[in-house]
Amino acid sequence: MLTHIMINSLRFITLAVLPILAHSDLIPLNDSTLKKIDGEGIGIILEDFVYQAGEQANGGTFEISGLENSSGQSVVLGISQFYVAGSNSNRGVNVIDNPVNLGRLQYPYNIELRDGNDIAITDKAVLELAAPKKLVDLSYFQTSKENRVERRFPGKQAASGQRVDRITGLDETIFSTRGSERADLGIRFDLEVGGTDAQSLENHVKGLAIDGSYVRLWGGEDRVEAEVNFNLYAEQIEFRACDSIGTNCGDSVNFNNIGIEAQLGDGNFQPVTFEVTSAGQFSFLVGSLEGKCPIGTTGGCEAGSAKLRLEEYYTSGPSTNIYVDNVRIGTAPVNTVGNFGSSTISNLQIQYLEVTSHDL
Amino acid sequence: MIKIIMLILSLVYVSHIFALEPLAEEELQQILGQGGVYLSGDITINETGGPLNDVSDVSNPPIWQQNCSVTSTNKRCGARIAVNAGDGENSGWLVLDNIRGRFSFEGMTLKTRVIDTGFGGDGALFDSDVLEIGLPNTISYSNVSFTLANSSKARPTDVGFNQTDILNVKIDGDVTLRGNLLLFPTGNP
Repeated sequence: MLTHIMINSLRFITLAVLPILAHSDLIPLNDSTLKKIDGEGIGIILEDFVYQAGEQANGGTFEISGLENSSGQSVVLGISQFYVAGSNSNRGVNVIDNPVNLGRLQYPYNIELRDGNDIAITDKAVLELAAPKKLVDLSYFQTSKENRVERRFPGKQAASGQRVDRITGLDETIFSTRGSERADLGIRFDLEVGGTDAQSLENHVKGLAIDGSYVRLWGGEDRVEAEVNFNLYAEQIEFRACDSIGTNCGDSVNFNNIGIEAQLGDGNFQPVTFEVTSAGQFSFLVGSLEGKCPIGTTGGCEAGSAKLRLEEYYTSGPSTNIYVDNVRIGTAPVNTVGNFGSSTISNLQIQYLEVTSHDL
Repeated sequence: MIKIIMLILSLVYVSHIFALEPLAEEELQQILGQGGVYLSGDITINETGGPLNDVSDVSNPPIWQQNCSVTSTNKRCGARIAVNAGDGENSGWLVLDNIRGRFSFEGMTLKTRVIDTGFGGDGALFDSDVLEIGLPNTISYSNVSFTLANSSKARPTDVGFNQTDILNVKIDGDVTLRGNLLLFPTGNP
């Protein structure tokens, strides 16, 4: 009995003394360590990424069907190759050993729940799906401005102010920096019309970046609402048609050094909605600005906060800019037939847009 | 005698306690908890119309019996995902319909990794852990198909059902998928 008590006492003492013997140091976390830990979102990077599918690339079947041409013949798109690879893939020839890093450690693809009050979407929890941020938090477009006095609508008061006159160019450093993070992607497909091979079409995108793009989603009154920012920068987008065997290709149409910065929707002031109607038709809507301010006796907005908000919308609200350095057929040099030069769409604001599908 | 052995053993136990020594930082840094998980997968979705479809014994029908062979176009054979982005009753559904087929892959890996170099100079600034999912190089698709459609109702059996198929996709063969998917926490507190 005594021995039992001894053993138990020994165990008790041992267990009681144990924590004192364990010399573990609690180390204070410094600021630089702490600021990395917050766990609000999930960063996603695809490292050394290669994707390739298609009938010619990997064998098997890969087709899209259910389409019809205007004569009612069924059209099948047989996908010969669909690839995502590193830059200089040479139209999808050099894919497998040519990987790309999508997303970067400092600015990854990000999925995050955000407080709507921080991003002008009042009192909403917002799901944000974002591409890597831009290296420089500015538009890559270079614009020239001018002072203009003009009437916004016929018969209305003239207003003066600085307006973007034109896009003078694109900051093309985006096409020469961080090449390992710009992807080549493309698709080659064969059109099969009414059961016979008709034509082979190709589309290749070189050096693609979508930095700064995001989709924000939140629950609106009775539907999902969104704000979309779509940026696309590519060295070249190429379209080409070949005969049914895929050889004897025509000249390609090239869009060189492209920049698109499209902003659709302005928080819950002008939400974008995307849904299917009760009749089973697809509908895409950029909200209307109609009725956003009380109309005064002269037909314009009455002075007040609603008018100020609209003024803010027109001054710094969502806008779309598109710039293509050069559009040409084949390799047509500048100032020849087949070289269409540079194209620009600047400062496009969408006050209302509705796209719906219809059965034919 | 047994009690004496127990007492001695308990003393041995105590002496081991006293052998516990704190590990220095340098020693701790040598210890790596390496390891990971290697995954292979084989996923079949409604290849023969789902688990409830059994045509082996026609005389004893289960819940339903349909011809859901690979060539069958019977839409009840596939799975259906319907999403409503509106207010339910007054809006329609975006549908992935007739989802069928088999995907298989081998060699997907799952592990953690410390990144402190590379990535165009970002690695040294990042200096942290990531969860690394090694993609499986090849994914084999066997008669995988699905239909993208707009529909007025969630289910084909609902009253007033009306559906417009937009396109059908069919994949049978291999797809190359290489690289690593890295996941880590981000955010602005």
